[in-house]
Amino acid sequence: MLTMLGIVIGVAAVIVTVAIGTGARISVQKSIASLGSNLIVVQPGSITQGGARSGFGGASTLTPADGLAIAQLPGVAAVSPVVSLRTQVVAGGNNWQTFVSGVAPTYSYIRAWPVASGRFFNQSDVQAIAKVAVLGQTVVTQLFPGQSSPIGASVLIKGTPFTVIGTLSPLGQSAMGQDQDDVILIPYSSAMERLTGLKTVNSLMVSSTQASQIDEVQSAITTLLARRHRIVPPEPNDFQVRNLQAIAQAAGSTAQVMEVLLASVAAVSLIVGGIGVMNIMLVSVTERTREIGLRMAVGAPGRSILQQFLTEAIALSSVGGVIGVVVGALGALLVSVLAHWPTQIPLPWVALAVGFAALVGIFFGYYPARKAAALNPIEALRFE
Amino acid sequence: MEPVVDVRGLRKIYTLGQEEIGALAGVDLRIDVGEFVAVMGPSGSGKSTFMQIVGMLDSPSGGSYHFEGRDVSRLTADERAAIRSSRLGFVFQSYNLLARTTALENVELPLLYATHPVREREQIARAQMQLLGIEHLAKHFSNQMSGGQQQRVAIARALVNGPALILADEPTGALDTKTSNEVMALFGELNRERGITILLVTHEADIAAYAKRIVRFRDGLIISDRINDQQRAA
Ligand SMILES: Nc1ncnc2c1ncn2[C@@H]1O[C@H](COP(=O)(O)OP(=O)(O)OP(=O)(O)O)[C@@H](O)[C@H]1O
Ligand SMILES: [Mg+2]
Repeated sequence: MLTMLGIVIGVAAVIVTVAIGTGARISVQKSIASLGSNLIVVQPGSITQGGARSGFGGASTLTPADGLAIAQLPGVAAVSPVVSLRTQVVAGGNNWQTFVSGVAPTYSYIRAWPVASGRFFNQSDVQAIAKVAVLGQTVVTQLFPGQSSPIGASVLIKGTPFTVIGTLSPLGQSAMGQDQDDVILIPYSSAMERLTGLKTVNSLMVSSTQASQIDEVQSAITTLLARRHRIVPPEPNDFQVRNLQAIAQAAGSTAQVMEVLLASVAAVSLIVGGIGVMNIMLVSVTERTREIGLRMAVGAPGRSILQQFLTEAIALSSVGGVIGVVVGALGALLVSVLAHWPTQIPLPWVALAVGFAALVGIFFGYYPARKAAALNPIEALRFE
Repeated sequence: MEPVVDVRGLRKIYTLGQEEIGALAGVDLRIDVGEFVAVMGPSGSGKSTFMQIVGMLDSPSGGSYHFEGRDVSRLTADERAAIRSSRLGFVFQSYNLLARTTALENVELPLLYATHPVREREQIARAQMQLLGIEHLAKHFSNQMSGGQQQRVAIARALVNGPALILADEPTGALDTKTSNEVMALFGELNRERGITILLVTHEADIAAYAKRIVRFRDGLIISDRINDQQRAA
């Protein structure tokens, strides 16, 4: 059993690797499909404070005015500032920890996310810094269980009562396994004025009119913001302009790091497993020396002996491979449950992994089998 | 008809490091179809060496060996294996049955390497065991049988491919006198009734007495070769 362990771990690692990689690729494709390929996100860049760079988002430099300026650029369809915070909200006797996002009325259009009931807030709500809120479906079920409609009710966000004016249509889980309906949308002006007290926003969401123009729009935004933020060339930009492709690539590269890591685990385990198989086969050849001698005496050609031991090595490692697939599938399940990382196991890879395990059996079983076939039958028969 | 075994000037020299040991020093022997030959001789006289060469498990250092008219020195390893499988049967002093294997499976073993369809193997093996009156042992494992029973299974295994020659090196060496006589009676019967050619090595005159012809070895040479006119039947 122990000898199979290497093969089991190796194949399991291959399966988990592929499951994570495939899951990541599929989720990236899904997020591109759901968010649209013409989405651009502007985030604060890193700032240098006494030589220490803070990483993206460290600088709080983006303002709603930046958003208004971007909206004037050619090729830009809509812009929405995003102010996000995680907080406890209360309605009636229920309270719930959720995401509150301060956004513009255009957000509904940018995310292609219509209301299910009531209405979305409009420009006058933004100007009036109105205490109005649109609830995601998860928040509705958590705060107003069993109630037909929450519209008109009041929700306390950080002690401030907001009136519910609409509910959002359900989006379900994001590609990364997040519940997208667990959110409350309020006007960004209200979020800044009444909740964060800051003049800056967390990000700006921009939608270009055409996906094909995304690169030009992106560079136009970069030039505009650099000028607005008075960045002098050698100085780094205090913001980051990224499109969804880039974000998807970032997610993909995280997956890739894990893939490389697991692939090396797989390779090492398969080699260790192969050596284990070789070892047990060598022991088996020694233990069965007399049997081999007898088989030769009754007419087994060397090739039959070779075949017999190779078959055993292959069987041994294939069983290890099949167990490895099961363990790997469980591992992938664990990854998606614990780490909320979507996984998917493509069937051809299962066959490939088991096939590879068998190949390890052939490779490492060949030497012991060769040794068995090369035994001298007289000495083998005399062996004690 | 071609003799089964025809050796001329057969020599075998073992080299152990610097030392050279002459095990066979020029043996001439011809065994025809249907013969029953016993080989006798003191320990170290080359009997086993001779049997191994005749059984194509080893090759001679000199001289010639023709088996059923074919020059063995010209055969490939696979051709020799094929002859062992279809034309030769071995019986050993220590039976050499496979452990954790039933008597029936042991008897089937040589069929595995001959061109028999899988379905027929068990049938042929059972028929052979029946002929030797040991079909009741079919499901017994090696460690569940007496020495005599094990040797009978081994003989069934040697016979299962319908060989031209049975080679038995001290087949009764591990058996008591009564069982030895039973096994030898069986060999005599196989030779008489089924015309099977037998070449057998023994130290005991009582055992050699079952053969039709007795050959004596000394120092790697044949020193006497005579017809046994007092052949024992039982
Ligand atoms: N593999 C070997 N390597 C070296 N010398 C060997 C080998 N096998 C046999 N001999 C030597 O060859 C000679 C003949 O041995 P062999 O086994 O043929 O004798 P034997 O007649 O069968 O003896 P016994 O009656 O004791 O079985 C002996 O001197 C033996 O030591
Ligand atoms: Mg001997």
